[in-house]
Amino acid sequence: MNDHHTLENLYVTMKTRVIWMVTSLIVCVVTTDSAVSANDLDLAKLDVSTLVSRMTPLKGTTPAQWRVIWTNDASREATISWTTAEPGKKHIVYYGRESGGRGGKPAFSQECQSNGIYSITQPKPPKPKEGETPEQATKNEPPKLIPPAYYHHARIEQLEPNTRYYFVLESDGERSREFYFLTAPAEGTDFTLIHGGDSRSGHADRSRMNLRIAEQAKSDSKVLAFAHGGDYIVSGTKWEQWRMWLSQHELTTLEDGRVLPIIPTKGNHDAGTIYFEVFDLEEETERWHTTMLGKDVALVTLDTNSPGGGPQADWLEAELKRLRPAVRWLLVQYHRPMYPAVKGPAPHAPIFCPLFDKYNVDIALESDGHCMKRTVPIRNGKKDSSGLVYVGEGGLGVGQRKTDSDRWYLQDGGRAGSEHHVIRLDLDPDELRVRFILMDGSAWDDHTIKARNL
Amino acid sequence: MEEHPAMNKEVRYKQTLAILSVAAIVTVLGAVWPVLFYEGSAIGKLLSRKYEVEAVGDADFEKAMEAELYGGTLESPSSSPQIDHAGITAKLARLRQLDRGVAFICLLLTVGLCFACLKWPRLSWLYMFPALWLLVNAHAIAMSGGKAFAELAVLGHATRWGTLTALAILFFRNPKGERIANWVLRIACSLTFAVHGYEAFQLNPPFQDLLYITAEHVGVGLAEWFCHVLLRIIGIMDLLLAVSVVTVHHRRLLFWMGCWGLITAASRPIAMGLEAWPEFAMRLPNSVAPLLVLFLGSQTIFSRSIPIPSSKPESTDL
Repeated sequence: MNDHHTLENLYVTMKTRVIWMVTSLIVCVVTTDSAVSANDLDLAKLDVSTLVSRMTPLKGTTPAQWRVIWTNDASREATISWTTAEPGKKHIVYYGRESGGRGGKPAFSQECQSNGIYSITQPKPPKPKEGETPEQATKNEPPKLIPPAYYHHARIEQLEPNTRYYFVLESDGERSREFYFLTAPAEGTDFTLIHGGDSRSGHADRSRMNLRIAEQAKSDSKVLAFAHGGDYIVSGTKWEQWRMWLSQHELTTLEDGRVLPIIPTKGNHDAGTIYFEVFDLEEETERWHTTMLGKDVALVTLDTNSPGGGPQADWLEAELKRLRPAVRWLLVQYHRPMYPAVKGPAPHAPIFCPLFDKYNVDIALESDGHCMKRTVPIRNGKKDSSGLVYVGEGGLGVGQRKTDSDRWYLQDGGRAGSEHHVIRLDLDPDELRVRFILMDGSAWDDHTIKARNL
Repeated sequence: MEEHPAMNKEVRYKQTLAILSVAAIVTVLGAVWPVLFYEGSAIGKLLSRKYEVEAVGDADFEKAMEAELYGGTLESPSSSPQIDHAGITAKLARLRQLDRGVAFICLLLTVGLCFACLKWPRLSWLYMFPALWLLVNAHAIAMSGGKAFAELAVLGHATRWGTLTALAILFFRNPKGERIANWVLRIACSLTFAVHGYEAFQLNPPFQDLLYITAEHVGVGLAEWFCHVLLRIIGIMDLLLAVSVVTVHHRRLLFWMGCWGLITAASRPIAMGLEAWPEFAMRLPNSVAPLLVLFLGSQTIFSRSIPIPSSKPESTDL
């Protein structure tokens, strides 16, 4: 009898445990599946000290403001860049597939091919008061001079696709901690891109959004890179704004040292030469470029500050013609929107849009409007299921604007809203899943675009 | 029976002011339209941004971060600013409403004055409000930046606020006022054409696109070098016109300025489609202002010193 009771108790206990295990498993699966909607970070409570503790002060030749830049073949090439407060003499990046271990360094090295001083405009001297000479005015009220800073770019080639590369930065013997990044696969579409724009104001929110980007990569190792849609800062000619953006960009680095490569776009506020110094681009020849993320995905970056016609249109047509038959996913990014939710359309629309239609671009990533929007599929200026979807328009810290949801392309399937966000693009051979991730980690919109049968 | 010359002038005066008033309405409508139905005015956006930056305590946050990262003595705040997003959104919405309200009042005022000033000419001073609004917006564009040559907006938009200012003066119908209006318009034309000339000479990207797209419309593929040469020629022409309008009173040059102003204003909707009509409307003064200079220089029709005929013209005093 006792044995019977014991068995019965054991059965009940086992049953309860099994139920618990199944429930836990379901909860676990659900939680994992909705990782982007988890409120995994209380970003609002982060203070300056906490944020700054995750950034590197610009001092001496200590490597700071690191970034990995992709503008060409992301499977085999990358530019690793950083900043120092002093010019230094020797700037090297050590890199390799094997970690250098604690205090060590990876096997290969590349000396920086490009070093220089950022273009800094010093504040004007104070106006002399009555009876004061300009020299006296400067002496009495010395202007706060902006200290110089120096960029270093190491262009690395012949990398292996789909490989983790560790790297350590060194300037005159001062070394950074070890970081790593992943190269794009040689082929295939099984990865995720993060896109966002307009980080030009709202320093606290910009920092939080950078942490949100890092969190996206942390929760999903498929996140490969971060495409920035432009308007990094308010005044492109002011180094004091760029240096803050660069320091805060360090927050996109994961705690384990993973750096998300950045694919830059030039915004209308990024005037001047510093943009080109930050991203190691030639002002005359690299305002627009194609980043190949393996042989199946291409991200074409355009410049809406330059004329849309002439050389840019010629280049775009040739590029789309070349790429469309070759890739599964053809993406474009640029700053000013063609189908905006707040402002009027970019003057480039009559030039770019017919080309996007002609060569069946899959998605257009836009910024500048300071809002969220996803249009209906558009072809020849009309709603058309075979057309392309325009998404955007920038929410990496900048204050959000009220949208005009009455526009035809935002109705009957299109959407618009106003919150800080990044756009997450999950690619696979058949579908492109587009999600707007808000600062709290929740998803505002979840839309799927089917691959074209071309 | 021949009409009295003073009667002719009176009719022409009324016709000219009517045309000018309509041009003013079109100009203000072009400027107000994007404020009512798109993103808001330049000053509205600037004020919103300033408010927002202050409301989120961003300046302190930035200073504290700068002090920690790049050296300084500033004490960093213990925590990041507690942001009342709902409050900020509500305030921004009110600012937006205010922005629209001001724009709408400017439009109403311009329309209303068109009729009211015929009866009460002294009210024409109220044209200074839309003129001031246009001037303040141009200044806000210059302050906000983010566009090529934005810093020149106040001078580049001179014909817009200048035409409304001249209109305010012209209703008073006195020779001194007419002279002042004439000079306001000449200087405004000179500034606008000089700035546009400079921008064209510097190959302002939107100007290049206007040429590329217009050429495309007529089936011509424009080579980059040709586009650049064309813009440089246009730039030099605009600069010469800018000088000429304040130095000589050449009827043909002024007429060409008016036509050229109209062509360049019309190039926006031609290139961008009819939805871009506000771009044309707000640039209408680029055409109207030089034509008015031409008219003011050749006729003295606005002065009260010209007698209005009565039934006994010979008894009219001067």
